[in-house]
Amino acid sequence: MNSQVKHFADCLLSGHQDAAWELLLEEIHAGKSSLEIYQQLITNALIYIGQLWEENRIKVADEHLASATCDFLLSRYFFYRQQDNKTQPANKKAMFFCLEQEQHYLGLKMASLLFEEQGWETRFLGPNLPLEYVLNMAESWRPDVIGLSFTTLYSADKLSMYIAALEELAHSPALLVGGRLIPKYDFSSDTSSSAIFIEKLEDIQRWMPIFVCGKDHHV
Amino acid sequence: MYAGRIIMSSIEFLPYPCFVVDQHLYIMERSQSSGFTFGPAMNFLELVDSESRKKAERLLKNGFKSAEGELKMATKDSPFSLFTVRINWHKEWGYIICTEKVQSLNDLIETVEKQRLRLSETNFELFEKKEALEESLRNIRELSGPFIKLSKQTALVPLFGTLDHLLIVQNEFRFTHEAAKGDYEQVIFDFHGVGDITEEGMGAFGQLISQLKLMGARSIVTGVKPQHAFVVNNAGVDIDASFIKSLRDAIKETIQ
Repeated sequence: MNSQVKHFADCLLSGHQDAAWELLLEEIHAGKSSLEIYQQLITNALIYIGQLWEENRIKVADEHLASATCDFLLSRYFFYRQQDNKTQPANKKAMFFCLEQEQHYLGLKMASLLFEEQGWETRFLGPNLPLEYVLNMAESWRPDVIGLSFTTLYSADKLSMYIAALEELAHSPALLVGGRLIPKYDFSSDTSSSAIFIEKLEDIQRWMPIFVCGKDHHV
Repeated sequence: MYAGRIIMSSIEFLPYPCFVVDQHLYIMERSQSSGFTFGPAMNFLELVDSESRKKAERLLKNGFKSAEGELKMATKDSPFSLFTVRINWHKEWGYIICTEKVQSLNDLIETVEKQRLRLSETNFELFEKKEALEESLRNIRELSGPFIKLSKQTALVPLFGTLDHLLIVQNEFRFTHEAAKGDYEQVIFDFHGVGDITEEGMGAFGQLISQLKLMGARSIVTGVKPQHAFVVNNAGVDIDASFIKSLRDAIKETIQ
């Protein structure tokens, strides 16, 4: 864990938005791409914060403050990037949400922003979304892609139910499943389906152009 | 066992989930209250969420010193509730007390969640308003260039508002399509209602005129104001059209 990641994590934990923003600006000025910033700085800082809890050095309340600070920074970062980077519209739509009772949404938010940066129209529905809301939104808005995320084995039990219901949608959107457990366990046996399991954010970056070209959907 | 009896009497009626464990965290005794919160278990670790177990072991064994920390535990109501767990070791026994953090933490989560939702709703509202606004703008641009039949040979297109690239691009298909359908010989573009003209707009307009010419219709531009003349001249585009000062003269000339 490099010192910059620790510094960034400390800023998040203490709610120092401005200091954290300075660090993000340094990364932008160093020519880092969004994917690099999301993976190397932000995701690693969040993993480090999780470790601090494991080591009993912080409390869950501290984690919540860090999440809220990080959420704000992501929105600010994206807005900043969009100022001088006007991408052509991709004429594609993607919708993102976390399974019911799942509160960890920052990874999914970064995924959503990667899509938006490529000119996709996105809707980020956030944490803890019951299936009926997801289905209503999916039926009326008809996204090309639906991305869902979970981080606990308890939420994983519901995965197959969500996937089965989303596969029934008449317009057959592509389904992406992400979350920190994906590289650790094989969930494909829980789902009958064509759902694509995303282990890292860079998988999304690789998958997106392939999907847009209408070729093989698998990463 | 003598020690066991002493332990039992010391914790049974405490108003919190309390446990006495051995050095391997096997439960030797528990308070009545723990039975209301947790299910049965032989070892204290069975009550801890599987992903918190390593932390629990480190925290509770910790050289058999007193310790305090947060653990996610499986209760009768929820597979992972957050508890503050405190342990105190005396001789070979560990005395554990568990306090649920539900209320204070849920209040915090709810407040943060409400803030987040309000922000995202505002986002969606703004987003939807922006979409509606863009749609209105498209409609306005379409209405800013009606294609009017004056005679069998002549059509009139009065342009309104800013003559920019979008105004032409959005309407050029309709103009060329109408011109081809009516087989017109000339199309009069009237600039009386035009405010500003951009260079890109003039470029696109020049291309439109060329397309019409290829289809056999010549273009006439009327109503060019002095402030337009500068842009029209300096746009670096060759506008292949006749310029007539007033619309009345153009109509008089073409419809005879």
